[in-house]
Amino acid sequence: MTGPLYLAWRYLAFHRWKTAVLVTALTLIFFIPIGLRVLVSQSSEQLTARAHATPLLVGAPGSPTELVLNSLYFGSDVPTPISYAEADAVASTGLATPIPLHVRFRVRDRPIVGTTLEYFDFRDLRISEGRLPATLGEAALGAAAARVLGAGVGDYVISSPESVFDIAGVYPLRMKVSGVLAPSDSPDDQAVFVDIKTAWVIEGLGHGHQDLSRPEAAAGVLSREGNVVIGNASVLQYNEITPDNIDSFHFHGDPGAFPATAIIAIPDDEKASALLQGRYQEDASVQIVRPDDVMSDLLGTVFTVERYVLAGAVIVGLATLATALLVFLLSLRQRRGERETLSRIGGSPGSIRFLMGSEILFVLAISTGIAVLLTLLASRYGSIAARMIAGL
Amino acid sequence: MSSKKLMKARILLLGPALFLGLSACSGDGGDPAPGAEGRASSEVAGEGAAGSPPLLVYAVNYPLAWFADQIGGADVEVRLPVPKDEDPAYWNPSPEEISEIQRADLILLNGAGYAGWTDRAALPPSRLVNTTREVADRYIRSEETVTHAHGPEGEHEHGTLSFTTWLDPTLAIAQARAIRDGLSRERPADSAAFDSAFSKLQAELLALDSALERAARSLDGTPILGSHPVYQYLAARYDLDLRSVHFEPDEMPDAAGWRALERLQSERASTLMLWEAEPLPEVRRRLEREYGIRTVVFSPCANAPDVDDYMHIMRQNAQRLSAIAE
Repeated sequence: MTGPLYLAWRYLAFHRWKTAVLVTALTLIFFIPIGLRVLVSQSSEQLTARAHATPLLVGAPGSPTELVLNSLYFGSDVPTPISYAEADAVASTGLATPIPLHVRFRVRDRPIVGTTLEYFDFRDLRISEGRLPATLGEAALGAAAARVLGAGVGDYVISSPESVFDIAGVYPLRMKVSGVLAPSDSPDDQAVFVDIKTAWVIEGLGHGHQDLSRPEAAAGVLSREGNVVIGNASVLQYNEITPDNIDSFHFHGDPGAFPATAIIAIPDDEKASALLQGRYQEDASVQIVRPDDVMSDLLGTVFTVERYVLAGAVIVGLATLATALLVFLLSLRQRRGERETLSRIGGSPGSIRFLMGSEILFVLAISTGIAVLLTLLASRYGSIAARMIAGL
Repeated sequence: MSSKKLMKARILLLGPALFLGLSACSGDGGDPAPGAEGRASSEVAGEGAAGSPPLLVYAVNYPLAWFADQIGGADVEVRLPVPKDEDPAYWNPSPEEISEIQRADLILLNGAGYAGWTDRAALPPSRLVNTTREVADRYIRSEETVTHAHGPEGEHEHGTLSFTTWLDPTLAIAQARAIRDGLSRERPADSAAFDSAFSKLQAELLALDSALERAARSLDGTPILGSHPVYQYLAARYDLDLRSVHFEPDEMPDAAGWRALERLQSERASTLMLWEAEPLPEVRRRLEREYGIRTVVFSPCANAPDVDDYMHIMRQNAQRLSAIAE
């Protein structure tokens, strides 16, 4: 029985291009619907899991989807900021622990996430090297961000201007990397974490500069009247926070009025969650959303699209299957002379049918094998690929 | 305990707590900080009353560390991270030291701009207790405010508040109360013990208040000088006629310092100067001989003393003040 199998294999190997085309077509027929299902299912699971793990989000009125995508996945547009005092307002209810977020700036294409230390506990993020930021101007990198930026503990990363024409805009701050986080297979891997006060420095709400009361800053003094010193444009402002100049960094204005893009609220229990949502219902200046609900709505749309895509894939698959069948039938007809030769040299009709069938089975087996492999790869790395494609 | 459960236990005191640090003028002239790596005044407890490990509490100055130790007892492990020869108001911890402080269950701040490093450090807001938050309306603006302007944001001020709040025992009671509330929030099961210890401390502070009031009354409105601008809350509480210079106990003032003193004396002559620690003998002699000013040590006790404790030193302050008035 090995003879016909060998002949079938040699036939496929000889007609390698035809075989390759057939295998590719059949592989795609098998893989596309299953792989798509796996990818969508994984992505939705991951998106849902992160949303599910984030009980409530407080933000400015506007698109809840934008608020959730920015706060949970650090993508989308920057939502309208709310005041940092809102975090204090949430805390003062005694119903929830607030974690402020400031997600606006970037280091190259990596998001700078300004937050407080509670975030790391909340997301269960662990340091793999170094330590969490301890002072203004320090940053902890997500595992993927560290790899992409090529930075490790002791290196520096620089915040990027929001626009190339934004010469007088955000503060391009040179930040020292204090630590690198262990991989968490989440958007946190992509982020550059700083204390929210560092984000405010980048925004220009706090800064460090020469002490205008000292003689060496005389050139930067426009006028001096009693305790009032007016500086001119030449006053040296620092774009890096070092142990030598950190004392000169200060904030102007009421910190409660400083911006946060969102506040994560962690209620004590379901009752506290309901009470907190109730309190915000009549407040038109902010909105409170359940990321789980927002993502469910979003994924509902995604699933509708997925059903259309699947239907399309099935139709295309059936057409491709019919074409493959035609190819096999035409091939068999074309090989009538070959079958007669085999018969004349003593091949039984059964052996000849087995030979021809083996060729089809080989093609189907190889296609199925590759499709299974691709599905396994999709289930292993699909979520990462999906995030990269979605830019989240 | 899961991180989420930990988070749930820690609420309140956010925004302002981030910024309301503090800053006192000096410690006790090189006094050590017994809490530098351990308890403020008593030994580190192995376990709390309920068998749970003691709460790890960091304080930015000795008075707060001592209050926490008195209130928390065996349920807390109080640490004062400031080295013995540093002034807690101006001490700057290294990032590694801040990293240690980040592990605390509670971080006690003085408020009123004390310990400026807390404004520049990444500290967990849910674990910060600004002990003067509830009495912020009693903050005293500093005489020395530098206003400057540069850039588009215009005029702004640096160094605006006086910060040795605990020299007013009624403010000290408010600070102790904030500590009690913070501890109770973290460890509700022990709140009765915290309440009881706080009541005892409050009684001691009220007695101190009475002693200081008697001492201040015995001064009978005598204009007095502070060797450093750290006595504003003391003066406000007891209606003292007090102005300050910038003399260091271990240094001979420079010519500008003496000129500043002469300017103050020409405006209204004082016969008494409060010092954070014993001044140099030649400074004391010159003050007495040339200006007729007697000196008396009134220690703010910002850093931990070598011997005795906060209450003992404050009582000594009151006694010295009474004695010099007689």
